[in-house]
Amino acid sequence: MRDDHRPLKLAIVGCGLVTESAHLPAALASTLVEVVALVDPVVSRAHQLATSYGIRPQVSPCIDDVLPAADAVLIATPNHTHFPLAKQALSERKAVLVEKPLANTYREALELCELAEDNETVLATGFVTRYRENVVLLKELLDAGVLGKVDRFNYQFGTAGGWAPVSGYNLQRKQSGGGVLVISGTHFLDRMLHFFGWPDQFAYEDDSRGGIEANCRATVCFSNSLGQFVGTIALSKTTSLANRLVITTERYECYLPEADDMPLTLYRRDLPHVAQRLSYGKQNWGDTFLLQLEDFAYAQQHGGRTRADGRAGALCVRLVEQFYARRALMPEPWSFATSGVDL
Amino acid sequence: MKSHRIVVFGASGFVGAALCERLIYEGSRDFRAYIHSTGNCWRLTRFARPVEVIDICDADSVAAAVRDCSVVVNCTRGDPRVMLEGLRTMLRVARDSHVRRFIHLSSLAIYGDNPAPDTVTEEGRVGGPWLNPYGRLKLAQDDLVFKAHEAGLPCYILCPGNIGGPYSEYLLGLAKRLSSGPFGLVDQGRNPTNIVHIDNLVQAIICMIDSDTGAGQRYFVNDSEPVSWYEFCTGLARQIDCEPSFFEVPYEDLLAEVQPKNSPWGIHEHIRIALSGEFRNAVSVLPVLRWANTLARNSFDRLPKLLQTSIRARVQSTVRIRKHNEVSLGDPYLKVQLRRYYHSPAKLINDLHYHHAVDCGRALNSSGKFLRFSLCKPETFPTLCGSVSSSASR
Repeated sequence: MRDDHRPLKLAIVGCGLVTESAHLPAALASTLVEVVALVDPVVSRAHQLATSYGIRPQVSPCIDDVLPAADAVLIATPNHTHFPLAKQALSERKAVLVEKPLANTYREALELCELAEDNETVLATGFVTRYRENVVLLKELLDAGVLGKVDRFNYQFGTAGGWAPVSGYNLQRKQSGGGVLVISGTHFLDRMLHFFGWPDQFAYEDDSRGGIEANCRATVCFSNSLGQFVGTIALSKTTSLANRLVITTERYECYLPEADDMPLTLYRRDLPHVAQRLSYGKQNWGDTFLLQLEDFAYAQQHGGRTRADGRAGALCVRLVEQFYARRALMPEPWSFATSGVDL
Repeated sequence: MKSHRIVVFGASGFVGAALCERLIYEGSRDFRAYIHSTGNCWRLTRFARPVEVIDICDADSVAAAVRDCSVVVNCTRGDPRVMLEGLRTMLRVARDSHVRRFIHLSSLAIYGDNPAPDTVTEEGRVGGPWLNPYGRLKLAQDDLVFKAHEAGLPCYILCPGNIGGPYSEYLLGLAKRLSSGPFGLVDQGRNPTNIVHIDNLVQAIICMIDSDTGAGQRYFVNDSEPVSWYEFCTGLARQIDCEPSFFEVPYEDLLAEVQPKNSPWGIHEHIRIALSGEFRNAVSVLPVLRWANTLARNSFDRLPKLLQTSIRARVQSTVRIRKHNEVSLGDPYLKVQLRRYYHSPAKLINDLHYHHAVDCGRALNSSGKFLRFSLCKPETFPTLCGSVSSSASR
């Protein structure tokens, strides 16, 4: 924790698509942060980013060179490198914001959390969707009991393809840590844990046939102060899905779209034709990546935790690990090719 | 089955991925899959098999890919430049590498949006005034392929219409349309859909891979019998538990909408664009053009009001306000219903001994099962019976 008010000196490690399109623009827009270094094994890529944004940070192929000059590190690299890079930065008492997933195994994720706690530094996980207005609002309404007991929920997120990381790490399980469950699903799993807590029971299946899954489905069961309820989750990298969360409670049907700027919509169950679109009424909620980064910078400066800290990241990794450990093969009854074939 | 070494370009697309899956499941096929981008390769990476990224416009990369291979299947799509330049490169390299057959995916679009009666067979006239830009591009590709065949590379061309079956976004879009309200049918839905099930298309490609005859020809691929739009839509709706409703779209209205318009590149169109506010504002970024624009504007303002009004009326387009419930005739699911003829796969059956992988009933059934999955119907989620209690594991 720092007690001065100068901008946080930030080193960004990994100059791929998410850095180019989201993290770096957010960092440059923030008054709480100063980008002092860009790190990428392909140095030309880092130089290209620096040039295109008109900045002159230190550029290096490895993290070692930039740590001395930085207060904090943002790690946006292929998933399998999150753990060693974060561990190195935390060991040098730097605050660390790691893109999701925090690590590829729960053991690694816990080790990072403990290291951060021992060194009294900030560890945050890049669950950027936690900073959406509609998510913050829904959590508040659930906690305040406005919606009543939860009856069930259904979450769907699917696109036909999409996101092509520059490094291509998404092609191999060793690097990505998993398929659609990790790449797309961890954002929702984190929010699910945030909204509803840890599930009592689950069933999980996916379509991996030796590689990384493109489609997965889960059914999860909860029993807690919010009620006794079952949720279903569908994730796809091959097919467009509805891309929203629907929570049915004793009083409302709540639609949470999978988008930063769309409102939470409630339908009273006894008045289902009336849509109530809710917001906090602010003129401009703000860019979620900027909110995430400033939350991180604030926590580093003043102490305290970020909205999605290391423990939240670790819990999500734990759930992913359990899903995979108890995975069943997803049936594909439409497939001519798989008729009678069991790989 | 022959022991060919197969290269699939465009392996992450809808057709390429389905073909690769089939080759994997057959177990004994020797093939390599090449993709353009990792963002769309998820159907392939669920198998523990290598997938390689390639730029099909780069001759050296293509040469390395086709080295020692006997069959090339081109399932690539992309922007027009890549589709033409990439195909030229693949054909040239395949010929130089002594590839034994090159299979190219074309489209029924080469016969235009309103095909003539003679297009019931492949020998019907291609091109013509009803050709849309995609059809024009596919036809240009076909020309390249036929030239390569004449130059010594045995080539096959497959012409599917719209493609259905599992993972078809086209079919998913249709299912969503049927679920969301009245669906427009042309000619009371009597016209054939010409939607080929993906498994039948893949079967046709396999057939070409294994065939020793029939190169240098274009082949239709279609489901085993004609299915009308009405039959198809009601059948599909039954599969997804929806009660479809329909309304009639007059064939002539749709034809008038799709009819090729006069070229937008006439003198009048140029003047209209040059005088538009958008164009003048855009070019006014340059100081010299801003000065010219201001000068022109001031000169125009000095003209008599009547003349100003007359000039404005001549250069402005007509603004047409649609009725609030008017059907958009630009809807792709309507335009495709203009096709009145079933493009029979008889030639494929007779010359290459093609047999359908799935008949119409099974095709509909397989599509329905996938659509139920895509629409997240309750039975497509795992049940908690025998599920794992996780509380102790937290």
